[in-house]
Amino acid sequence: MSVLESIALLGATLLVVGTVFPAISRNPTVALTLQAAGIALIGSGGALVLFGAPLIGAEFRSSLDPALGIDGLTGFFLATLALVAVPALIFSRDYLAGVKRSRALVALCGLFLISLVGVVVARDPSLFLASWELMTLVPATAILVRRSDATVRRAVYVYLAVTHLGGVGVWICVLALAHYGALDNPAALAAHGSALQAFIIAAAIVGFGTKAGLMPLHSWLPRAHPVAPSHISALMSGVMIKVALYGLIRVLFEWAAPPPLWVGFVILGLGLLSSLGGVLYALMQRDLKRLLAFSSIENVGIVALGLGASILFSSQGDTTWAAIAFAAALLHIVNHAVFKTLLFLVAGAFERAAGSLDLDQIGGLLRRMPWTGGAFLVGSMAIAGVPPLNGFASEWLTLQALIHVALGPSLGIGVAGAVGAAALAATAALAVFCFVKVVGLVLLGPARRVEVETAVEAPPATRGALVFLAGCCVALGAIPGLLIPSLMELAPQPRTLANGPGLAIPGTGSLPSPWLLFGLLALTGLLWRLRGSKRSAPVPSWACGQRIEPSLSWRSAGFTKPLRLTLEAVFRPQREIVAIREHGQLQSLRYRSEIPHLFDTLLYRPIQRGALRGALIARRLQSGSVRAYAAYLLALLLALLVLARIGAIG
Amino acid sequence: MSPAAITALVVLGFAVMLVRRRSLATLLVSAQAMVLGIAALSLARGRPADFLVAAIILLVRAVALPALLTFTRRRTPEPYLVIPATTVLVRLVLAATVVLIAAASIPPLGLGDRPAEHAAVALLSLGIAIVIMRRPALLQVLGILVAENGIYLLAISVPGGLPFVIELGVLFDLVLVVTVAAAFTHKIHGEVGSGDTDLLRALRD
Repeated sequence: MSVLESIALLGATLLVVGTVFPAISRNPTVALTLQAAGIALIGSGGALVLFGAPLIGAEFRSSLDPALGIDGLTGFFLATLALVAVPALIFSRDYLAGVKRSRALVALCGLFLISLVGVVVARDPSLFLASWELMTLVPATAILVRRSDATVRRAVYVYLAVTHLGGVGVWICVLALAHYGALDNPAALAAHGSALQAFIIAAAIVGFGTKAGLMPLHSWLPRAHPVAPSHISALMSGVMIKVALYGLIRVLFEWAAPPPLWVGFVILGLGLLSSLGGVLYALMQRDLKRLLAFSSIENVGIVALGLGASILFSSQGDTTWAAIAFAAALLHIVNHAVFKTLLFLVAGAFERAAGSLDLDQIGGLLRRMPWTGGAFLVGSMAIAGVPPLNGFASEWLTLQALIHVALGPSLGIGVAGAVGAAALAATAALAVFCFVKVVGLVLLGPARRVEVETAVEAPPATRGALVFLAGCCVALGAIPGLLIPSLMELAPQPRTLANGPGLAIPGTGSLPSPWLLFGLLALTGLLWRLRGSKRSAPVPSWACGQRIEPSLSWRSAGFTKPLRLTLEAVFRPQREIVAIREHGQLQSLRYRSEIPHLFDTLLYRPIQRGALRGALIARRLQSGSVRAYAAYLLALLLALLVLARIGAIG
Repeated sequence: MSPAAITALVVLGFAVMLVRRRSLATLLVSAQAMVLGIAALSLARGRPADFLVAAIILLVRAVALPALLTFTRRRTPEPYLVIPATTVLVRLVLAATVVLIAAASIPPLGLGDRPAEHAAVALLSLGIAIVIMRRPALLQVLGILVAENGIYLLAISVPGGLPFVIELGVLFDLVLVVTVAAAFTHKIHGEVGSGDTDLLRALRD
C-alpha cells in the first residue's frame, strides 16, 4: 500500500470513527475533531493526486462490484470538500452547543460527509448510486432532527420529492452507461448510435441538474437550504450541489463524451437562465439564508456557462480554450464552495447572536461582531465578484471564455457566446447590487431591534473558522494562476498553460491578480496613514424634521424597488393594501407585498395539478377489494404470457 | 414428471376452487404439496443434498403450513356461512377458461417437460383465480399456496434442479407470507367478526 493510499485510508477510518463516536460519548468535540481530521486527510490525498501524484485505487468499472478510487477530478472535489468541511466542523462545535439532539446532528454531519466522499470516490454504479441516495436523505434527516414544525416538514417534503423525481434521471443515466459498458470504456456508447447518447445525456442533465439547482429544476433549493442547521446548509450549498455538478461533468466530459453540439447550447442556456434568474430572485429576498440559496443557483449557473462554453469550443476543435473554459468552471466551483460556506456559517452566527435573519430586522452587526462581520464582508465582496477576491478571478475567466466563444467562426455559436457573455456581465452587476443591499442592511446602520444591540462576537473557534475561509477568498483571488494548469489537465483533452500566480490567457489581456491585491493593500495602508487620528463622527440623518425611527431607515424592499419597478413584467409583484376604518375614519393601513416565484406558479403548479388529476383517476382503480387487486394481477400475468407468446417480449 | 402426478396436481387445484369447507380445502392443498414433494424427492434421488432440501420443503409445505392454517381456522370460527361470490358452476367455467388461456399462451420455457410447464402456469393462474373468486381470507391464503405450488413445480422441473440456497430462500419467503397472512386472518376475524374479506371494503376512505 502506497503512502497516499495509507493517508486516504486513515482519513476514511477517522471519518467513520468520528461519525459513530456520538453513540458512545456525549462530548461532541472529540467526534467533530475526528471527523475534521479524517476529511482533512482525505482532502490532502485528493489534492496530492490533483497536483500530479499517481492515481489511487481502482478505475471506473461497469460491473456492480464495489470499488473505490481517486483520480484528478475526484481529487479536486475531495480537496474542495475538505477545504470547506473542516471550518464547517470547527464552526459546528460552538453552533451546536446547547442545541437539542446535538449528538444526532454531529453523527449526521459525519454521515453526510461520508456520503459526499462516497459519490466522488465510487468507481462502480452500485456504490455511486447508494452514496447518491444517502447524500439526499441525510440532510433531510438532519433538518428534521433540528426542527420539525409544519413549515420545515413541508420544505423537506418538497426537497425529497423534487430531488427523488430528478434522481430518476441519475439512476437511468448511470445504469444505462453501466449496461453499455461505457463507465470503463466511453467508446462503447458510440457504437450504439447518437440517439442513445442523447437519451443518456438528457437523463443526466435532468438528474444531476435537479440536485445542482439548475433552473428550472431548482425549486427544492430555496426551500431546503434556509431551514437546515447552518453548518449543514453550508455543506449543502458549498459542496452537495457541486457533487451533483461532478456527476454532470463525468457524464458530459468522460462517460458520454464527446457531447454533441446541442448539449453545449442546452448547458449554456440553463446556465444563463440560472445565473440571471438566481440573482434576480436573490435580490428580492428578505431572509438572508433564502437569499444565499438563490445566490447558489446563480453561481451554479455561472459554472454551467463555463461548462457550456467548453463544449462549444470542443465542437469547434479549439481544445486550448475548451480546457480554459473547463478550468474556469472548476475554479468557480471551488471559489463558490469557499465563499458560500463562509456566508452560510456567518448567517448561522448572526442568527444565534441577533435572533433573526430577516434583513429588515438586523443592522449594525459589523460594530458588534467585528470579526464575524468582517469575514461576512469579505465573503460578500467575493461572491459579488469584486476584485481582487476569488469570485472575480473565476468570473473573469468565464467571461473571457464566453467572449472567445462569441468571436468564433460559426454564427450560431457566436451569438450564443455573445448572449452568454452579456448574461454573465448582467449577473455580475446584479450580484454587486444584491450584496451591497445585504452588507448595508446587515452590517451597517443602526441596530433595528433590541436583541441586535446586545449581540456579542462569536466564540474564538468560530471566529477562527470564519477568518480562515475569508483568508481563502483572498488567497484564491490572489493566486488563481497556480491552480489553472492543474485544472486544465483535468479537461477531456488536457492542455497546459504556463502561468504565474496571476492569469495570463492566450489571445486576451492578463489579470495580474497578486499585483491588484498588493495595490489595494498599499492604497488601504496609504488611506489609513492619511487618516491619522481622525475618526468618523456619526450625526443624525435629516428626515424632513421628523423624529428618526427604525421604520424610516432603508429596508430591503425599498432598496430593490427601482429594479422591481423596471422588471415588473418579470417579477409580477403582488401587493395588498387593507384600510381599517371605524365610524368612517381611517384607523390604520396594512400593507403586504409579495414576489411570487414564477417557476412555481407557471411551471410546477400546473404539473402538480395534472399529477393530482391523474391520481384521482388512478384512485378509481383502488377499489379496496383484495379480490379486485388479485384480478389486476391475473390480468397482468395473462397479458405477459400472451406478449411472450407473440414474441413482443422475452 | 409422470402424467398422473401432473393430472393430480391440476385436479386438486380445481377442487380447492370448488369446495365449500375451509378444512377440506386445506387438506386438498396439503395433498397437492404432498404430490409435489414426492415428485421432487423422486427427481432428487442420488443427490443427497438436494434430497434433504426436497424433504425439508415437503415437510414445510405439506405439513407445517397446513397445520398453521388449521390452527388459524380453529381460532376463527365463522358464525354464519359466507355467501360465495359466484356459484360453483360459474367458478368452474371461469377457472377453466383462465387456465386454458394461460396454458395456451405460455411459450416454450426450455425445461424439456412441456406438460409440466403447462401444469405450472395452470396452477399459477388457478391460484390467483381462487383469490379472486373466494371471499374467506383463509381460502385466499390457500389460493396463494396453490399459485406457489405452480412455481415450485417449475423449479423442480428445471434439469438438475435449482441451487438449494434459492429453494430454501423461496421457502423462507413462503413461510413468512403465510405466517403474516394467518396473523392478518386472525386480526380481520377479530375486527369484523368474520373472515369475509369483502367486508374490508368498508375501511376504504
